[in-house]
Amino acid sequence: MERVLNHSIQKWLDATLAFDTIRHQNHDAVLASMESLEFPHSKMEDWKYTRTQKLNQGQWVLQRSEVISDPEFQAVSSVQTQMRSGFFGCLNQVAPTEAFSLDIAPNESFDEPFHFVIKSNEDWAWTQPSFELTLGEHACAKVVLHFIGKHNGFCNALLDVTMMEGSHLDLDIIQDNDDSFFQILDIRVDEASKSHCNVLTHTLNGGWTRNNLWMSLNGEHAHAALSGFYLPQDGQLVDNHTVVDHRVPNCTSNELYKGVLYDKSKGVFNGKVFVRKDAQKTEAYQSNKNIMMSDDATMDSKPELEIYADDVRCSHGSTTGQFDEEALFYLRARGLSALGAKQLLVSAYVNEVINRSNNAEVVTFVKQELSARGRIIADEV
Amino acid sequence: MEILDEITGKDYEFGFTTNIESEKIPAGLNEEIIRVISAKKNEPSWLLDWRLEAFKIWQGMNEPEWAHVHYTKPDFQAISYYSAPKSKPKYNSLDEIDPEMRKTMDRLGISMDEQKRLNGIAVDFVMDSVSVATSFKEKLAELGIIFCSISEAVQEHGDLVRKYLGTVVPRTDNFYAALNSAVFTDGSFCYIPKGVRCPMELSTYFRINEAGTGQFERTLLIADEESYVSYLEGCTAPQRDENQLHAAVVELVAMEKAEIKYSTVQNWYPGDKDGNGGVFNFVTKRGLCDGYKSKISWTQVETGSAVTWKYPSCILKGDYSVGEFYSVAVTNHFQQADTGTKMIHIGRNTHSTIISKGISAGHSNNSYRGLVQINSSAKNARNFSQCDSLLMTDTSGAHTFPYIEVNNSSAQVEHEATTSKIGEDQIFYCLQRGLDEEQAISMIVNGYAKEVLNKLPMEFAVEAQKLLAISLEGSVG
Repeated sequence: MERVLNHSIQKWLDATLAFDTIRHQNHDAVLASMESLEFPHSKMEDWKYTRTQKLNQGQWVLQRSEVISDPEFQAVSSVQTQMRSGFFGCLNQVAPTEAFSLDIAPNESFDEPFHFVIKSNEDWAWTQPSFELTLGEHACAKVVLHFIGKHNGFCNALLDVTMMEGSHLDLDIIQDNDDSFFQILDIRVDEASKSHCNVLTHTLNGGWTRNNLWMSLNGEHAHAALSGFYLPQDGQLVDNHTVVDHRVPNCTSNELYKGVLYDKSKGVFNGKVFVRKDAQKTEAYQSNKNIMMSDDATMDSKPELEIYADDVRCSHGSTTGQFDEEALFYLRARGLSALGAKQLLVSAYVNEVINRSNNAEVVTFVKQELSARGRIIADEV
Repeated sequence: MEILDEITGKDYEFGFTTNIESEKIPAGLNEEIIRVISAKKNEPSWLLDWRLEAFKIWQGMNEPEWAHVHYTKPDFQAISYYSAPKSKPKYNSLDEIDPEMRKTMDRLGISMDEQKRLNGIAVDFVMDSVSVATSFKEKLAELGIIFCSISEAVQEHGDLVRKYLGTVVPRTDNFYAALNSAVFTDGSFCYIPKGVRCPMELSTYFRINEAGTGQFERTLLIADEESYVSYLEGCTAPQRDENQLHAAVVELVAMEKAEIKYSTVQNWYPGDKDGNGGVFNFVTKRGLCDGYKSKISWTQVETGSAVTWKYPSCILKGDYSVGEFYSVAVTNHFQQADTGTKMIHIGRNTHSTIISKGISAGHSNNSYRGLVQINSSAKNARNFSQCDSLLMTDTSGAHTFPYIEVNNSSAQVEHEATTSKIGEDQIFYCLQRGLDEEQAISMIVNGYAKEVLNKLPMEFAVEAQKLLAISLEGSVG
């Protein structure tokens, strides 16, 4: 069937044609929904601050990723992720390059985290991994998704998390990409009543990173915790778009994103908190803090609240500034070098986010990695 | 209960119409209409060309849809763009004013008569499309202050108007600014010369009277070096079930060390309890802090209008310039407000403060939308923003859309916002002390908005407090 598509996305779709081993169960509907889409550009509110030209100009070749995972992750050939409205989400669903699912049975509880490492190794490699996590009632698990992107590749990943009543998930995302690597990660979490989800995005490095995180609180007494940090340098870009959708009463959410921006880097934060009409007794907190290390860096922050219920406690805050001169002076006076003093302050600043992870293994790993790269000073062991 | 009935009965006390014969041109918008308006006002050719150019720009623009408001778009061809009271357009003295008009002013509480002259407020009164009276002109002229309607300024101070018109809000700025530039009919003009501190509050009172018209006024205020002026603006409209359009442009220019304090009490007709009628208030207000240490302060109390779309802004171009925005926005019934500010930091060591208090009642929606932009040249820029929302009912909504763009490392930007409901314990406490519920709410709301109300000139602060109480009448959730 011939479809009328916006010319800006036609070439992207043409490039997916060779890949048809894995199919989304609503493949045709996804394709149909793309008829109204165009390639994201800065006139779209969601892409106002994030430039996409370079990504659009890439000579991408769709291919499989290299995957190293715990055996509990099952490869699937039919994808059932929820349909997305954005271009890149749909693009992933049209042609996933690999798809995995992890089901935790009801009442199962695991202390050891499940690891999944996705690697892209070649120039112009374009990968589209797709994941589905399902936690049964009162299940409890820790999951680590570790993205490693080498050279100038592009990874357009998508993840759906479905949490049943009383389940508990700690999800740590580690993004460790090269300076010329592009990554988009689209996550959607649906939480039933009394479930508890803690998502932490560790953006260690990457040329161009865009994270969409949508958390929907569908059952009472559910809790969502979202956090992330970013330390972009040179000409890197890190963009975090989050939505917390309070659909029912008595839910809580807590969001904390912190960034340190070096050189000519750019940071974007857009956090939305919706409180639906009947979602009384909601408590929602959102905070975005940024430190500017260079005059050439840019930070665009947009914390939003949309509230339609009256008996709620909601607050958000955003700060952008620099390190306290006095704190730096104090450390210098105690013999630290200019660099050391800044590193120490950055460590303290970023640790607040890293320590929100309940996965001790990840916390240690991330701190060691950052410290080995001279970004922070690791804790004394 | 008697008091309650009494107050609820007067939910919009300015809803009357004045029976003054007026001259109205046919509805519609085209080049010909613009030529007619320009000719009626006996304008110089440069202004007509300027208008026509604006009209061309407007034709190429689309009505903005990004605001968090929903309404039926006005039919721009169904509006009459010029309506003026028919009786003698210019008055030599205030005694000559049409008695009906005098009555209108009295009912609006505008200080036009001798006894109120003691209050010391100079007023420019704009009804529909024209300015009908300006008081205290001579006294101000002694100090070199020019305060008159903009049509008069075009005739008598053409050079000044030509030099500054459209410099802060260019015709290309947005849809409504372009429309206003094409069809504006009157408004106020004010020039404060170097080193002069304006001895009295200057005030403009706007009123839409005719049905089927829109009001498109233009205000231009220039404060020369080291001058100071405090300017007040009030607005009302009759109660009608049609939606009337008000699309104004206000431009302020503050030179070196000048200070402009601009206060608005906006009380356009908000529509009835079921959301019928009311004024669409689509306004572009912007101030340019052009010189070193200049300061512009916006204070607004927004209680009226069915739909409000308004972002009084400051461009902080001069080093050490200061921008302030204090706002209380109350929405009740089916009102919708999308309001806030833009602070554009260009100069070094520029400071801005934003305090916004939203109160939503009934089925209304109240949004704060603000932009804080720190350019890379704005070293050591500082911004503090606080946006609080108070929800009175579970059918109303409160929203915050702040945009923060920081482009250098020495800037400090803080934004915080909270949303909560009026405290039941607070109301209980007041009831315990013998207040009734309405009084209790009025008191709590006034306390909540105090930070902003304190910034208003005294005469306005009293009016604003009463207005808050009336707007929230019967809104207890």
